[in-house]
Amino acid sequence: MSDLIAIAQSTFGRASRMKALYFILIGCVLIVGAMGLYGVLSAGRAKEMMFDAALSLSLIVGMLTAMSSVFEIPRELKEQTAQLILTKPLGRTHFIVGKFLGVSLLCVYNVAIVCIGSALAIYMKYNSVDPNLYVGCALIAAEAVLLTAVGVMLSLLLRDAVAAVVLFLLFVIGHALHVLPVAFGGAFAVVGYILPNLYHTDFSVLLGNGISLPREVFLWAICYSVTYSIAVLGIAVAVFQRRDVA
Amino acid sequence: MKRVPVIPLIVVALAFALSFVAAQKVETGRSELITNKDRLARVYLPCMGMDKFLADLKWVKLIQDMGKVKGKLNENAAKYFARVLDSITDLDPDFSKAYQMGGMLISNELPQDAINLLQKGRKFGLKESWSLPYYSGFFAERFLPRKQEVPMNECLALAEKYYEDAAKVSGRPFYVDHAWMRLATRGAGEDPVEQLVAQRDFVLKMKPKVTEMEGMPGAGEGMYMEGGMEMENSPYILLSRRLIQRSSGLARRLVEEHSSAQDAEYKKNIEEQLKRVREVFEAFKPAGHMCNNCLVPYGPGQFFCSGCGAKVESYAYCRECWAKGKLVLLSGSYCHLCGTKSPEAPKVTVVAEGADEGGLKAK
Repeated sequence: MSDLIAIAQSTFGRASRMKALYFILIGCVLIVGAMGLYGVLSAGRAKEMMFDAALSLSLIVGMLTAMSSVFEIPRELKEQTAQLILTKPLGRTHFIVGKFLGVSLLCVYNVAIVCIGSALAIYMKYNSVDPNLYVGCALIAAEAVLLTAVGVMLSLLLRDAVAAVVLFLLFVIGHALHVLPVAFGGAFAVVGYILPNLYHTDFSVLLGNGISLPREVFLWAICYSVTYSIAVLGIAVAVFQRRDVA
Repeated sequence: MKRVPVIPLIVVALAFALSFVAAQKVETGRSELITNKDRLARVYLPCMGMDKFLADLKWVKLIQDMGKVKGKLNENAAKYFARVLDSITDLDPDFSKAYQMGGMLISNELPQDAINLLQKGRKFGLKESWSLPYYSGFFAERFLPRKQEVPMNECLALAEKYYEDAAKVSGRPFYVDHAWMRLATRGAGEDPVEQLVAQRDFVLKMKPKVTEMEGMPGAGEGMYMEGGMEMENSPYILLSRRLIQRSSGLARRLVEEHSSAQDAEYKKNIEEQLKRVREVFEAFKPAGHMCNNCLVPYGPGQFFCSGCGAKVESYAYCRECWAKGKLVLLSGSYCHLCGTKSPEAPKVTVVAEGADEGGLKAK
């Protein structure tokens, strides 16, 4: 267990020490704050715009962070550090899960920074923050974790650049999978269960319009993200166990 | 040969099964939150979960484009705005401002498109909003006939239907019901008395059946009609109040006209009209004391109507004291000065002892 935590910590620590990351996060919060100035230009919808911008930027940050998972394992393999780690009495499962946990932690950390920064910006402007913002950000963090798991699996199957492109495509398609059964018939619903269906964690339209999410729905959405991540991670472990890393 | 990783595959199968269950639960929960499932099919653009933010950005751009319009909006510009508004409301079906402001923006040039936009809002998002059907009715009544594409009668019938829909939504302002009643009784013509009589018949037809309060949520707080609408918010109550006001105001005006009229024929005509107006008032007569002549309410201890000067049946004053020249308004069943029991219970407690004795005696 301590090995797992050590791999996760080192993955998280290396990425979180990057100064560029914090410039991006501060930039996101500033954009959310700037939306507060759009009162006249949006005919009195500045508050809604701040809220929507906060969720959208959290999503972008979460997605970009999850993308870093695509490069983590190939880099370790390329630099031969993975081989070094695997010479120790450490299972391949630990290595994969540790990498996944490290990037997932980074996703949650980055989304939390944007969320708290945005909440502060909204509070400074309106003296109140809609609790739906925290619910939305929690769901986005869950979505980023799911993408991280998919990214880890893709990095073992494809070259890193190709895996990144495929992950981005899955991110785009994943948000539109709910349309398939409506547009092409119920048979296509199966695709929505096989591919990562990010629509299950996307409630930004409802939350932005002040509709509160029932606790059960929120928990089931988190549960979907976690169980799907475990499933994908299981595939990644199975693939990595059969792979020759020497 | 490498072994098949059995444990990871079992974990994969279990986790997939669980994710399937979770996905089902999430979508069941979501369908309870949205009014119309069809709206899912309308969000076809690859927005990557940023639908609402994109709708906001499009909205801001639309506002800027609106600002660029010089003078009157032409039809081409209106068509462009209609397309953008359609796209915005596809992205965010609950965008109430886009429906209302957008509808108003294009209503003059493209009334049918404006109505369609508002109806889209009702269908896909804001089912509980009174403003969408109300503005649909308004556009159908005011702007649609101008285009001369739809006959006037059909426009008005459409408007009446929309007003009726708006009047069924709780939390609406009073003018929604008034607009409905006005259009529903448009056959009565321009004569105010005829209108009033037609409106009485219209409102009386709506007299609700009140259901038992026991076992209903919030029982004891108010009366409920069939269907669950609170009695206080029912069109019947709101419109009957309106008719009380209208008949009272009209009666006052007729009384004034009657007092200043010279022609006997004309006076007779006014008397007939006054009789009909009083009948309307009687149909919805509120609790309290009203002047029989001009229908103005009067207070305790008043002997003549302050509206028309006619003698009214006074109440809630001590007869004994009044006989001695003092006006004492009763605050209970007994006079607080002489202790005489009152023949009727007072409704308002005001004491104006000797305030206008001289004037009252003179009358």
